[in-house]
Amino acid sequence: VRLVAAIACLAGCTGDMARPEGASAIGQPTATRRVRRLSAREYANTMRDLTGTSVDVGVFTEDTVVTGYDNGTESLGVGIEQAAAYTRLAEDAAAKVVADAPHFLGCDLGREGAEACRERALGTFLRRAYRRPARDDEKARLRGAFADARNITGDDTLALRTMVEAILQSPAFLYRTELGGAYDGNRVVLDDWERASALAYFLTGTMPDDALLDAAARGDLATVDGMRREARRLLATPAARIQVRHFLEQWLALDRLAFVTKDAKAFPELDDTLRAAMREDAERFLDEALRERGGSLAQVFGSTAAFVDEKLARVYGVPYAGTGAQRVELDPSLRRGILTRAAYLAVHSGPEETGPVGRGLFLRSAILCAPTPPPPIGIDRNVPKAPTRTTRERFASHSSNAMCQGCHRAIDGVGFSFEAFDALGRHRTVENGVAIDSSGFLLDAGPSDGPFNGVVELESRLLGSPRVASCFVRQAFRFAMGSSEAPEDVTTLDVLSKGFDANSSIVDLFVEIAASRAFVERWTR
Amino acid sequence: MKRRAFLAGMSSLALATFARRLVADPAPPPPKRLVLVMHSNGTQQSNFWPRAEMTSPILDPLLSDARVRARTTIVKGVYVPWDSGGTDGNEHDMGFARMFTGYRLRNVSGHPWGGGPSVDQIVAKEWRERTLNLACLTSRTEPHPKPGFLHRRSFSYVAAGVLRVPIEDPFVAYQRLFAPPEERDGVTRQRLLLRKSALDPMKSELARLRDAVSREERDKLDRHLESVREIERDLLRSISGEALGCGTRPPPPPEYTTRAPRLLVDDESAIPAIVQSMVDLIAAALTCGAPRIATLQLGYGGAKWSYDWEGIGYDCHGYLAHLDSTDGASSPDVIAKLVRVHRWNASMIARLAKKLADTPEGDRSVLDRTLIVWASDMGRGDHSLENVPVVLVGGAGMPSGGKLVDVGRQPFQRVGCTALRAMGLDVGGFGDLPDCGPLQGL
Repeated sequence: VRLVAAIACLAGCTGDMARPEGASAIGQPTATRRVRRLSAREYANTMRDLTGTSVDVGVFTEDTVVTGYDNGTESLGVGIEQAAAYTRLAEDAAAKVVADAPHFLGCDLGREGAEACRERALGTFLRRAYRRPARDDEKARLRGAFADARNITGDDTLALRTMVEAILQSPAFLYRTELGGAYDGNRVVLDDWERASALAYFLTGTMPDDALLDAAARGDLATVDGMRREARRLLATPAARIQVRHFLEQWLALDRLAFVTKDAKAFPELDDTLRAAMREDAERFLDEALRERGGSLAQVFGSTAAFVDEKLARVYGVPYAGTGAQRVELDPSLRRGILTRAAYLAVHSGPEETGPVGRGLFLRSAILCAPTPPPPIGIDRNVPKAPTRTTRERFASHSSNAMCQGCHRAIDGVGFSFEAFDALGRHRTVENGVAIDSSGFLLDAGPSDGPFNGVVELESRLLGSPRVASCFVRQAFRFAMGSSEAPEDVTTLDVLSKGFDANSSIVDLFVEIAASRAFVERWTR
Repeated sequence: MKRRAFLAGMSSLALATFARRLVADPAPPPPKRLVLVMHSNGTQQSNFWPRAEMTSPILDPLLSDARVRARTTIVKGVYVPWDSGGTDGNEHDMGFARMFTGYRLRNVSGHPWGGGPSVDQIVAKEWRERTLNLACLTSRTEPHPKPGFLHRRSFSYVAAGVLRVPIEDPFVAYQRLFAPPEERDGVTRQRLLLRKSALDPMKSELARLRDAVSREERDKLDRHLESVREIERDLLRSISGEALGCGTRPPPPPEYTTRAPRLLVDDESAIPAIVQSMVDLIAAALTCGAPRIATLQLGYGGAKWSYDWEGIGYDCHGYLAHLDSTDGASSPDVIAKLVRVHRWNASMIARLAKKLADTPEGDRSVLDRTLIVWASDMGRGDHSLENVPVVLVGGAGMPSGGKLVDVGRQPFQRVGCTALRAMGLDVGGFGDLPDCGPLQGL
């Protein structure tokens, strides 16, 4: 089926097939018609915006991250525990909504009566909850739940609450659809409401705001220009700033900081306060990097700003005065860019030592999109501790062993350049009495390949590499689609990558992704 | 389950009539039970396989009890073929995610996941029952799985790439199994009825949605629908006031989640207590037949416990199991410590078996109607995949035990097939194996 569809698309791509209005110029569809369960974070944001409740997403234990991003649709299902959690959370939220019916439902239960409030809830509130106007049969079933509850209790408030609980557990609330309407045998294009949801969850991580729903109702989203216009509007909101930052944090795995533990003897400094300071530093660093023209890789890999409290100042080796987090500029010859920030360095190192292999593997996979195959079977991967040698010297056997050389030349070439930073992110010049060697060698970065020294130089080389720019585009695309790219996505990715470089605006990239055909078209299967 | 929902819907008069009719019917045969247990890092080969007189330094906790020994078969010769399935998984994953699913690893963004439902879930589906899945995952060395290693939280799979996430807190499991409805839910009967009303509309909406999507997506929605039905069955049971369990509750374990959460995250000091609680819960649940299928997992796949309680005190994976590179000629210190580690694991299985042997059912014991399948992800700690330790305990669908059986060299899928056959499932294939025959030579 996929092959037939691909052939059909070839015809489509040459312009032989009429495209419906709204299909944009870039690329072609790759994802199939699907439903996407709200991720834990999207659910929490949506519950906050719709019902004013705050949700602890720790209850969503089954969610797994497979694309590198928490919105990966493949792994988001609903098992028993999850369904039970939805029930409990819906009950809490419904109680709150009905208790403040004038605010949430636009209705005064005492004055207007239960039926009036029920019908009001089935209007605006339901459109916001389902992110589209509800069908008549859906409303009829909700009225049924209301009637059931009133029969059981004889209580109007409880009846209304039960109906709101039903809304908050409905698949129309928990999933967003990408089903669309057919325009040829093989493809569908998302309808206006689905486009509104796709835009909102991609760019703001939450439900569409009323303006976006109104735009969908007017048919504004049916055109590429309309999609661009709404994308730009959303990207200027505070929710979008958090969302873009959230994407960058996941891209660089900074969100794992909460789980980082270190050997207590080697790193007694690391406690929850320092972890929080590292997190705040990284967040504000990224916020600042994103502020100007929607941010750029040049900012992300080049800024010298840091936001330190007393403990973090000691990690960075800078003077500190005052209270709370202070903005400081770090020595640009030692630290510039996110890769030299404590959060990044602490996440990307072992519990006891720096872990050059892990640092190299991650960077190559996330930033160069050049993942490394696993080591061959039967290899002794223990690198015994040695009190008089540097970590680099201990791992040096990689480059002398012919079997390891192939991959480790590339992995360690990057990983060793981080050796001037310990597992907590402190700068160091000696280890076990031996001077640190942070020379490195970059591979698979095109014109930037070759020897270099230290992370600061590594970052400027990354900025000069088209591979890094196109890898970033690919990462943003995965985040937008909630799935890994397919081979057919090469067209879309090529077009998006064209002209995207270290100085290009990240926010503009998000707009162009939202305007692509891949974003709004789906295969039927 | 179906019957329970039916009963709940009947008036008390009808119920009494129905109950009388039930009594008049000949008693059905006592049900079978299944427990799957997995620990990581293989075993210490020269001290595992019993000698002629059926003694073994590692297995003696099981073999020293005559009743348990008579129901125990130790299977030698099972291997796991090396196959990363193009993922970044190593030998741990090859055994861990495959032993009870039978499939090649599924490549999910480069990471190794199980390729289909595991034996416990297959049997549960057949019996229309829920499973009790428990895992003690706390770890000082690895409090959270490394990135890309989330699959190591469970060897139980609902479907390809979809974990059945185990319960880590014995108290939570206790509440779910044994607390009376009002205590369990902390809500009134009226609230239960309202809860059911709120669920009603979504079933038809889920069903409508599933007809609009592709096959893979349909599986996702089916699972959601099945979950909702499950919850509904629970609700009906609670509404009708039907008690869970069979009257005899084990003592409640401590409330770790709220009172001492670190003991479930990175503090290993309570591991023996947690695992014992889990074993006791499984024994009590099996006895009551609620549920009759359980899994127990000792640590993440590739567990890195320090076994402080056995006097070791450091990561027994990287700094002990990995150093065991021959079947008996590793350093005496390594061998001695590994024996302590695996003997302790065996003592937990022995605790379960003895409890079941102590519980009469008719003229026999619950152990006689149970099969415990205990296996590891590999054969030896240095990632050798040959001679994986496999122990079958119990009388359900099994020939008499008390023996070591060398089955030659047989693929791991035969272990799953043996379990499925013992539970009375006549399955054509299992995982990648088109012919699901049991281990030959048992």
